[in-house]
Amino acid sequence: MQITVKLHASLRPYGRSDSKDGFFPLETSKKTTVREVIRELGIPPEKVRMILLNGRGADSESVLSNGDRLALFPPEMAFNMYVAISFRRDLNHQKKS
Amino acid sequence: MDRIFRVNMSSLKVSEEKVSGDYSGLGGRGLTSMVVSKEVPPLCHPIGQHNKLVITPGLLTGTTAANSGRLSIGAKSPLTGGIKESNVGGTAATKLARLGVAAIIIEGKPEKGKLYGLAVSKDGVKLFPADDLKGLGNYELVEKLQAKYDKKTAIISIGPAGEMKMAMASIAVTSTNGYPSRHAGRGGMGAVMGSKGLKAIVVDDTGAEKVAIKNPDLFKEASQKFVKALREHPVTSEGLPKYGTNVLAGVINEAGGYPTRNFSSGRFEGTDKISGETMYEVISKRGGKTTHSGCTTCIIQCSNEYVDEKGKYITSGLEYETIWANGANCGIDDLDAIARIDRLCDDYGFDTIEMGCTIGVAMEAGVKEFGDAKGAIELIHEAGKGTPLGRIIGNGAGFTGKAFGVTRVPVVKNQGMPAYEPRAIQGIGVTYATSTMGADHTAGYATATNIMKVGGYVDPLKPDGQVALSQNLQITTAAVDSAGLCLFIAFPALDIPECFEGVIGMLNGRYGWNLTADDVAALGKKILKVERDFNERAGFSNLDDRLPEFFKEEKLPPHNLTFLVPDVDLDKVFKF
Repeated sequence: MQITVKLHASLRPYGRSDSKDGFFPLETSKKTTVREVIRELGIPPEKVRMILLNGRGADSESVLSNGDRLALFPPEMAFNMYVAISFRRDLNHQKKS
Repeated sequence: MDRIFRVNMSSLKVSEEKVSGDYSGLGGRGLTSMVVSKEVPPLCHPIGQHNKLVITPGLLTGTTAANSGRLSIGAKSPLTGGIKESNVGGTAATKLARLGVAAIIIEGKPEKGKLYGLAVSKDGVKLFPADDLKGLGNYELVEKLQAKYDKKTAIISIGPAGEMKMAMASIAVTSTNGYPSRHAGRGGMGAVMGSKGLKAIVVDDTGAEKVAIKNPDLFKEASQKFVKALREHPVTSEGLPKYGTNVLAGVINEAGGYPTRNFSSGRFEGTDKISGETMYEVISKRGGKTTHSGCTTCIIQCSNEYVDEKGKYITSGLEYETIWANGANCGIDDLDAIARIDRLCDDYGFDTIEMGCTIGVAMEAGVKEFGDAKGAIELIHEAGKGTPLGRIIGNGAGFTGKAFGVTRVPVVKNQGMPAYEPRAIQGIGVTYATSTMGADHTAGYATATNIMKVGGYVDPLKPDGQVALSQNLQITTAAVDSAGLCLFIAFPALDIPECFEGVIGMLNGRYGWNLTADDVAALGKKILKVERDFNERAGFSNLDDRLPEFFKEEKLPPHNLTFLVPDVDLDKVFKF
């Protein structure tokens, strides 16, 4: 099946040589996970800090479907609001294990 | 920092008093809001004699604390009709704080047509006649004043837009490179300054004594902790310095929350042409500056200097919001044109966010076509010159929407919405609707929490959890805005607990206080309550805490959602 991949900033060098603005199509087998794509592209996992799949937050276990749009962002472009909330103990969400 | 200067433009007298009573222990937004709340009649005409322009550095400003160079400017807003705090970086705040200035309050109204300047130095605060500066753009004005006073003085000024009292007029502050490229943009503070006949404030801190620190050891330790966090976090140590605030464009566009062509879609096909990565390449190739510290004491260096193909300076501090507003929101994908728009707005003294929203509405109305960069620039010149069409544009998105019979007008409390779509990032929609400031993104930045999926996750596309999120962020932000700190410290603060600990330690070290995190939250709540109360007295109710109709009815591509947080939940945000 085919997906499109968009790599941002310092992840761009891991794309294909013909990719424009970090954007390129990728052939994958059925039931491929995001983690497998990251591995296939040769990206060290710690360099991927945020994943958007079809514009929605996803993680490395997410399974891809035909026609999916996968965007990967490095640490310098990703940020987490939750520590700011942590000092409001009454508003803490349950952390996912 | 305990000197309050009152500048009465009716009597042309300056008086000095010490901070006391309700103003003690406040700075930045906390102080501007308290003064406005106590001294400005909420029903007054915003460009009349009873409004007051309040200028304050923050609680940590003037010290060696990193990223402490922010200035707060407050008044009743001619744009929203409610309370306003407009925040700006640059060089003025630190100098004012070093001179011991807690606040400058501009009151009254001068004789018709007269224009003045204000000189602030260790010798005091003095008015000077400035009729010769009438009509000057900020760039020429700053050049003239720097030649007269000193190249290194900080200058707070208005351009023609403020002189014409347009509701989207900004107040400029010189950047560290000497250009008037930092702006207190939102809410028409430039119009208030113009209505008071004040063209410029020149601040020279030569000879000022060092700011006194009550507990130097505690301060130093906390300050180092704080700096370490800023230097460790990849966003503040790599992303922002390299790509500027435009680092956000790729993320927000991908998430489908990048308002395109007057909020008609959430993803722009031209984003790659105006992204952070592209801007970095263009500026590097042409020999401009991709990394630049625009504000005194800043170690993040998110600013930049944009140059043309020949390497000639066009503008500095070209930011995410400006690029979005005058780019994607107008269907424009030409970065050079956007840079020129930024320069024009800085020179005329216009809020770039409001200008982009307004041009978007004008394009919706057919005044120009979406994507017409040349046409957008023509509209800005009309506004800067005060032509009849210009006077419509210069008064903002709401005013322009009314003039042309447009319904898709993205405003709350008449202030134009910034670069995040409520239908894809529901949490920011809650902030836009409920903030005391009108549609404001910095007031409760619910964007990253909504998009990141780490630990507790709040889905940006669902209404659940958005109210608690926005509420907490609005409270925290109000406190940070009082410290004089740049809001970008929030990124490391969100991931590294030592960051906020450092902020609290610096406050305690500076003043000999014993604040805890709960006290900081309490301060934030107090400020918000004061602002809410003013707005209520000015005639606002919960019915003004709503998004425009079309957000609830028009499904926004690519996620095809409407704004889903119910009104009854919006009314819970301020129940604390």
